[in-house]
Amino acid sequence: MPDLSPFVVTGLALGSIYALSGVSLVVLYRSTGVLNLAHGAIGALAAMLAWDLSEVGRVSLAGVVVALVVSVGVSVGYGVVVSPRLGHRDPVVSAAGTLALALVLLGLISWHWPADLRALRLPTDGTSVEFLGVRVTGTRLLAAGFAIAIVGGLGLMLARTRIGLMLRATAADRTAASVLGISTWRSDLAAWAIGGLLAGSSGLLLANLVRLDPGVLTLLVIPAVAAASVGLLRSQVGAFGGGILIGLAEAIATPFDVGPYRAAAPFAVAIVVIAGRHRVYAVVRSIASVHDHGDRRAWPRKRPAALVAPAAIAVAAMIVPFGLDAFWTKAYTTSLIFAIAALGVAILHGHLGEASLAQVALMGVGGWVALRVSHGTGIPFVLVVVIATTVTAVLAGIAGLSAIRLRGIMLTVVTLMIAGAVQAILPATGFPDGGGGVLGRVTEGSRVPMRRPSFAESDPAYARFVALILVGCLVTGLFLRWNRFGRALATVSASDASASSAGINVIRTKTVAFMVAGVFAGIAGALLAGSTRHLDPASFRAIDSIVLCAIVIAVGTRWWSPLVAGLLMKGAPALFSELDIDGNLTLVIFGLLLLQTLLFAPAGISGQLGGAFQRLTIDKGP
Amino acid sequence: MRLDMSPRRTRPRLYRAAEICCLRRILVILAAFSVLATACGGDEDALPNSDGAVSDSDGAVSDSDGAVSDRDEDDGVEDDLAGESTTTRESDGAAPEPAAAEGLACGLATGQAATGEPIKVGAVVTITGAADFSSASRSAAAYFACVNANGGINGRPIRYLVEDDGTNPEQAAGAAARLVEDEGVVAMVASTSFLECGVNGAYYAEHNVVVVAGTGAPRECFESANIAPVNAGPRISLIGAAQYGVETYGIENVVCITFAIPNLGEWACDGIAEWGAAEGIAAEVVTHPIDTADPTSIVLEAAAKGPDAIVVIEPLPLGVAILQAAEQQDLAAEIHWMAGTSLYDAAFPQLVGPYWNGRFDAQIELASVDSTGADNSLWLAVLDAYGSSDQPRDTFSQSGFLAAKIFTETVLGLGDEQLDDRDAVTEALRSITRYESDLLCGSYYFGPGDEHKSNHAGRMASIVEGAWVQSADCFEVNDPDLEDTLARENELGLGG
Repeated sequence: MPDLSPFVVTGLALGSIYALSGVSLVVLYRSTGVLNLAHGAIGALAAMLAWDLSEVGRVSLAGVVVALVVSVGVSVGYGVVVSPRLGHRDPVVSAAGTLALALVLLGLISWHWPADLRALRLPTDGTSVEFLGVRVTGTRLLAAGFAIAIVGGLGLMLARTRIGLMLRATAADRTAASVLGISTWRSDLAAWAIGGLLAGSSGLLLANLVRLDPGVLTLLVIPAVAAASVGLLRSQVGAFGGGILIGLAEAIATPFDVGPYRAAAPFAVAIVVIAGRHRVYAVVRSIASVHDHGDRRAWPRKRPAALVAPAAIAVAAMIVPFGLDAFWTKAYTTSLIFAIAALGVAILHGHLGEASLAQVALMGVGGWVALRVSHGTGIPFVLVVVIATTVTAVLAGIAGLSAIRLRGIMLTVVTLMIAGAVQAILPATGFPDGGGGVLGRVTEGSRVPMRRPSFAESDPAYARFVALILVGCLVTGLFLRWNRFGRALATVSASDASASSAGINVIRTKTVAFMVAGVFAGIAGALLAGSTRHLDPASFRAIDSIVLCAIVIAVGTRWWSPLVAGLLMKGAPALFSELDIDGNLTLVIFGLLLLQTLLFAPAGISGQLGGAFQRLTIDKGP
Repeated sequence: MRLDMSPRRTRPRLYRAAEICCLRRILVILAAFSVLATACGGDEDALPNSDGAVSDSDGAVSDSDGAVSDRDEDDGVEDDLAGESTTTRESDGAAPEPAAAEGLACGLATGQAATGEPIKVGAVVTITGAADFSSASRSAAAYFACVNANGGINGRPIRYLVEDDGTNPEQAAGAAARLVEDEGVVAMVASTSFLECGVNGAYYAEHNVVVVAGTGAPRECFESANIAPVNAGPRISLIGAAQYGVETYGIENVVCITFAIPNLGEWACDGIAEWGAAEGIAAEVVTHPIDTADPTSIVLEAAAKGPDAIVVIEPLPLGVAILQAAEQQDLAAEIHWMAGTSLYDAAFPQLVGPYWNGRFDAQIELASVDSTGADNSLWLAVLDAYGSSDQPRDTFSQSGFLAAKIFTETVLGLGDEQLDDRDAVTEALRSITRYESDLLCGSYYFGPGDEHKSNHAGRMASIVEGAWVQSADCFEVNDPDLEDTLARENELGLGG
């Protein structure tokens, strides 16, 4: 048994970092209902500004002040101008809006301050105290103290001050507060200002304690969400405890031989705690659950005419690759593959009303299984896809079960934790490339590319093959919408209780819905493996899952919307690359595009396109 | 011997703030607010009514179009400012010709601008995303500009097309497809990427395109049929550092710290373990997640194994974080710290601070950047004449320059009709057997087979008074994995 005491100390220090960000997220979420995914990006902006205004990496007071003022400004600006226009919709839509802000900020930061070696030194670095054989610097103590002070100070402020009362009233019931004459505008202003201040100051501390890297700082929001979710996004003390807990879990795992997999610890802890906190509730509900009496209603009338459009899209999708060059053939194929994955998210969101932030992570799982099976057995490609899909669907079903009694934002958070765990694990396992052992990696010599089906060896043929599968998936999606399962989902999405009383087995329906999403993720993952012939963990980051979900919500719920989502997700960046736009500015444009879609098109881009089409056809008729 | 640090990195922060940054910073902040402003406009007519919504959204679409074209123009402006910036896809030697350029020995060194049909050469480089390695392609572009101003390839200019892979595998695959199939490049030169070798290695072999890579990092860059980097790679570099530790400090027990990416960090540290087993040195490996927020636990775990030396192979920012954590725990008092070339960066000694003076050594895969050899001097002169002043003068830059020079001098031996024939160019590059340069310790060759590790000797640099100082000249690295390479060198008559 290794000596754990030093790791308890480092765990507490690490935990205070997560706690600081987690508490900040909770403060804003409680008051405004917005899960601020731009928290890390605002912190990164503050840190870069402070660095820019400092000399040889040692921050000046002026730099700190400017950094904090800008953080508050950006946060308040977003909170006052954009957020209210998204605020009364799905919490996932508001979260997606902040993601758009995060992308824009990250793109601007990386564009303005190109990747370079930087460090942010604080005056507190020089001092340290020794504790259980570990030296703890003044900055770490400052971070821990700051987190505690925030929990205490905010508690006091909320309990004792007028503005605290205002915030609490708005958090409890926005409409009632408004009726009582409380200015929700002012209360939002206060919440976003506090949120910005906390994001900026934690950004400065994290830049020192973790490293001054905008990408890393921006993505630290994901473990911060894990910390906040331990407090179920509502309790600051819970989030503080959650931060400490996941920090400890990660650090204490260090001396054990789990190596890189320990990065998954925060997410595993968060999932267990969230599921655990809902367990009592779940037991009560399951006793009360109504047995499935079967659905004896007639199936809705099939609409063969409605299949004309899919057929037309199928033909078009098959023809397109003939006219494309090599670059666009690849971009087109990837877009179609992501459209299949988007279909899974669309079914969950459109029918069940839930947002999954783990779809691209599940694609990674599907891709991994496909590569392993393909290299390990040499069976035909189509069978590989079937096996990868089955495994992914089962895993998605199991993951869905763990969150079965959750709804709304907490369910979404659990899916984000799954994405975080997958993002932590995949780089460590790598993807199979023809080697032996469980992980199937080549350790010497060339990697073996994945085999494609014999009828789709070339890129254009493969693109047509993918197009065919996509259309098959879209039609399946249509049938799911029409049949009993679709109606069951719709009922469950309205309310678990009413679905139960209508004789629908809620647990089974939800699990099946997650499995269906898993099926499409699995197909997409396996097809991506066949498309690029190798996979890399960089394709399956948690942020990609968030972006995919945000796009799906943005484009709307027409049956062909996933196609638009896929084209936006992978085709738009390819277009920007074709136009020679800087990769960082691409991120900015992409964020703006996302924001535009969320803001101006409640029915999604598909709604805009569909509406335009309708108008055209109406205009034509006399 | 001190490093001549790049102007970009040594320029005083306040000077920069006063002269350049204010405007751009304000721009960034304004742009951030413009996100919000975009949201403002058009809101009044966001009606729930469906007709209204349609017309409103039309307006919104054109708004967004406007925003796109604005950005596009901004981007163009930036490119103009940056001269032949590698963020653009084309940098075909159209750079202004400075007076100082005369007399540089680039290519034919005729002093006459090349005018004929351009020869297309490509590169896939990680420019955005996890890192910016454009230093390699920018120096290659500068060298090609110099070649084009000096007679080109027998009168024909080189058109150098650089694609950013965005640290995204699909983008890397698309980039290679665009260059190889759509543009029809004859070869890839100075490619430097986190993931391109793994993604495109088989593709290049399929299309018979060879890559004279700049700085290769993942294992696949050294173990693919068609890729041959000019550098040694993290594994050989790290073993070289440990070897230096044995020679200089007599270390007997080493711990290797790296990030958990199998074909990159772990591959390098596995090399230390294999080398340790072969040399009778106790060696252990500590891996950590690449995005770790907890460097202190990592260094404590490494120190708990009781080593007399710790070798690290890390990306630069993480390297700084790990050294800071080690400094906070005072772990360099009794343990020697060494690293591969990835931490040999001009700004590094200043950033990690005085604690590391005399306590940190790095193996360097190419010549030290302030060395006085002919090629190193030419590299600096080419950057001064055809590059931009903010361009880093680092190892990546050296590697891009060297790759471009090797390519140029090889294809100069081809007949005009062969210059557009990819197979002929591939054949010529494959046939390079002994390319000498003072940037290398040995010689560069391509050769047949799946393994291309021509660079397996290097030098050492140490931090002395806040700067890198070369502390050992060329020595061979004893990577047990080099057995096949050395046997092949004997077959090719390169041995000894």
